[in-house]
Amino acid sequence: MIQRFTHSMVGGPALIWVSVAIVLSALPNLKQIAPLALVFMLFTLVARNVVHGRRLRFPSTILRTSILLIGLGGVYLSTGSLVGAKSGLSALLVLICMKALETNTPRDFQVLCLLSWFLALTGLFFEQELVRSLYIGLICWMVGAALIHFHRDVKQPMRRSFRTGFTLFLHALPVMALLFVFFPRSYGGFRFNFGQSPRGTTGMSNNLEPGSFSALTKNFDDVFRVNFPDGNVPPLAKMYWRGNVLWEGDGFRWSRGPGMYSEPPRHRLLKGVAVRQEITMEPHGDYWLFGMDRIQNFRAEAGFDPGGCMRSSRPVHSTLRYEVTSLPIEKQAYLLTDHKTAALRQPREVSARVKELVVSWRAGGKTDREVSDTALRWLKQEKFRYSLEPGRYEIGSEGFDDFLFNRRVGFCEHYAAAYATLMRVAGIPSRVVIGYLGGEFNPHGRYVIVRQSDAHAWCEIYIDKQGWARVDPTDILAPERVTLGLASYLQQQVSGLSEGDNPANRQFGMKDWFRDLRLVWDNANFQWNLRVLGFDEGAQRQFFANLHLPYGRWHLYAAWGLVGLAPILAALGFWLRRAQRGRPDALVEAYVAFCQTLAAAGMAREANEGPLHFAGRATKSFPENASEIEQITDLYVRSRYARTPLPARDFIQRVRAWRSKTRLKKLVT
Amino acid sequence: MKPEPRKGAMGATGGGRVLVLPNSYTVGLLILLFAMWYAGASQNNQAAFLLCFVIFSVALVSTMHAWVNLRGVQVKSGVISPVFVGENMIVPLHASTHSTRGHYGIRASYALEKSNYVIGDVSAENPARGDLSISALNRGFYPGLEIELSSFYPLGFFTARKTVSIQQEFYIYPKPEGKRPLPASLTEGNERQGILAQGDDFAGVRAYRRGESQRHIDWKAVARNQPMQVKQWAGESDQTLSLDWQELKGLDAEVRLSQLAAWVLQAENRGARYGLALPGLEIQISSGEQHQQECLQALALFRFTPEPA
Repeated sequence: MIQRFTHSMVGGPALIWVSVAIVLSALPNLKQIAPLALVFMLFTLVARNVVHGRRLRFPSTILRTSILLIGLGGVYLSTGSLVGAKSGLSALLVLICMKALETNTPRDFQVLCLLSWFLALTGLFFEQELVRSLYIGLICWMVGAALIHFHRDVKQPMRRSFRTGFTLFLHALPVMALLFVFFPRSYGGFRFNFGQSPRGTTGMSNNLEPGSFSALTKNFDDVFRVNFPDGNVPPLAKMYWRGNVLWEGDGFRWSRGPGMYSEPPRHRLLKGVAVRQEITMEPHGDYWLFGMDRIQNFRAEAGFDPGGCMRSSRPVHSTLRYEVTSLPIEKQAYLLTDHKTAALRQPREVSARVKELVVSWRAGGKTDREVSDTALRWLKQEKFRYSLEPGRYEIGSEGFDDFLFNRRVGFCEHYAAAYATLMRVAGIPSRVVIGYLGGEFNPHGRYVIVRQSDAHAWCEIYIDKQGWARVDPTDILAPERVTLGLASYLQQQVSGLSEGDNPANRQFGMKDWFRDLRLVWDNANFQWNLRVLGFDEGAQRQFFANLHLPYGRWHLYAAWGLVGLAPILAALGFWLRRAQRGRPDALVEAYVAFCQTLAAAGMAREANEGPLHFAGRATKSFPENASEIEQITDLYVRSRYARTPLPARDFIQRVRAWRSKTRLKKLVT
Repeated sequence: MKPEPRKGAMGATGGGRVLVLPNSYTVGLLILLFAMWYAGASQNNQAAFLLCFVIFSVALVSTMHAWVNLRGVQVKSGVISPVFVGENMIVPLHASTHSTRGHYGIRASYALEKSNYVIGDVSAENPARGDLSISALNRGFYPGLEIELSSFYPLGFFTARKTVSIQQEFYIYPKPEGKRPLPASLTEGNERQGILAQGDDFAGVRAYRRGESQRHIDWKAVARNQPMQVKQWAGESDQTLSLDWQELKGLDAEVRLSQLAAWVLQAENRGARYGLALPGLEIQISSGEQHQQECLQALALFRFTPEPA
């Protein structure tokens, strides 16, 4: 049977905008949606809008069923199933477009809009950044405006419906904010995450290789951002972000080494002023987590590795937020045996020249601390240079000797590795710590952005009865690197030496305002991530604790919510009613006054009589005043209805003059 | 017998309390919100939660907009022409507002009828008109009627309703039916059976009376800006009929009234002079549109009280 509709109740801008919203909703998931479904989408949406526009025939039930089967069959054939992230999204798109094709009654349109809202939501499945969220919000606004437009009968410009939609959104803000904060986030069901797309980040690794860190200096990807909830921000030069401790060393190559037990917490006695950090970590697909040196405790799904660094329980595939509390000084009176063994393990081969050098430092029965200081002084005296491009060193002891006695140029990883090796040769337990140093402080949000280019390596030596002490040879050789940060350090170097096309220079040699703009934008993103995207169950518990509210008494809060909702809605209703009442504008008031003078003379205006018709009648009754009546009416019409209305003032003055002077003379018949 | 018409009852009325109630689309909305909540909760996706809350709160706030949208609309009705039971009565509605904002998607319906009439958008500058068609069910005189105004605006997930009393008098006449022939003429006249209405000879004009048929108005005179006059023709049927309740003994009261109404129409069509006799009411013999209306009104209002045996 062919159903024939000569025209549909749905069409025009409302339908076009919903179609646009559907297409825009599909865009963020282009990679997930089967190409066939996209073709289907374009075909059906264009067909539907043409059907209405050209008054063509609606497809029959049989034809519609066939189109639907073709669409779903196509998705099944191209993706192999109808469930799962990819094929599910494609199937959803096909179903929604099918609904659009057959939308004919107000009911259909209402359902189509609901489905479009859901389709828009799928755009948030894989990414929820600020820009993406705003984009999805925009799509939802479009659908809402289309609904508003649809429920207006006299067709007004679409932008009015957009404006009304925005007004609705503004009015909804208080309720929305309350819901966001108080609606329970605890969820008993299983969590699935199809947002897992581990990015192939070239970042930190578990090993230290010569050249691995200098390669990172050209990488400006964000690693993590740190918020200081207590407002206690240490200087950037003191921000050593502890990532991994490398126990096994052989010259320039260092690695984590064999598994060991972590030192028990009672061995680690931390002192100093506590710094609390909220860290938002970008996904990197590995286990490492960072925290400021030295990490006392943390709130994260993670554990301590030997050496007091954090290790996540599962690979970090999506943005991770955790809290860390750090104290600057660590006293460790007792070193575990296997830690001591690992920290003293000698490199495979050490040249005689190196041994000779180290023995000379020990001369005179110096303590470990004194030997360490002597070594640092030696690096300084022998004019070791700190450079981004130190060139390649041979693997093994030849390369090591080449560095120490010939070329004497290196980057932080060379110095950290060399220094730790030298200490071990001297019989002092040592280890290399890799992580980041400093970062960029964003004054707009008072947080620190740490990038790959901030990667750093330093050393720790064990001083008997005192514990692990940090020794950073870079600090001795290039103190500006530590105090100014790498970017500024490089800028200083480059401007002093040559205007080379250093990528780091290009990135950071921007004008101040541009840098500021970038920081403002970064802050907006960070706050969105931290406050909105990060407001999960844990954050909600913390929020409730801060308010001294017991967490989980949802039935009670629901009751309070309903009680609280009533005054909000009542206030809105009251306000809307007042706005609606308004004051009749002065122009209309003046015209009414003009009509009253005529009514007093026996010439009343009918309730539904237009000004021109009324003037026509009035001029007949009062021929002597005819020209004046006509002029006033003309002025009124031009002030009120003209495309570019005349100012109301003129008309009001004219009416005032008319009322004070004019004596109406009725035509005597 | 005839109820007192209310004085000054012609003004527009804003109607009663506006109620904003859920409708079938509300269920659809709840399903969507649940789906969004589930997506947010199962993926621990705060952005999805936020979108869910945005749509929920916008829908919630839309109830207030729906309320205020319908609130300021006033409705009055023009003259409602009398109809017979079973016919459609046309209520010419005139919707207006004093508020500075527009009112959108206004619909009117009569409580007992399913159909909606779309009045459309109403604003102070552009009042809207529309004819609401209601089927006439019971004869009688009505001082007014109650209609329901509703609107889906702004989002359609809630319906705003209010009941408005339209104060506009109207009559519903008994349904004219019955197969009994007209009673015999009281006078022997030149009964010209089967020939309708009036004779051929022009006999002058008289003033138009409200309620009369407009068929014989002298339109040319009206066009010359003279008062409305009715042309009269000589040779009208001089039948004289008495339409008497008592002649229909043994029938049900309503059937009798229907038969009488049918007779009144037939008699008027033939151009006869006729009178109506009901228990306790006697309408003198006369003819013309106004007389016909008078008879039909009497039939509409008639209340039969069985005589005590």
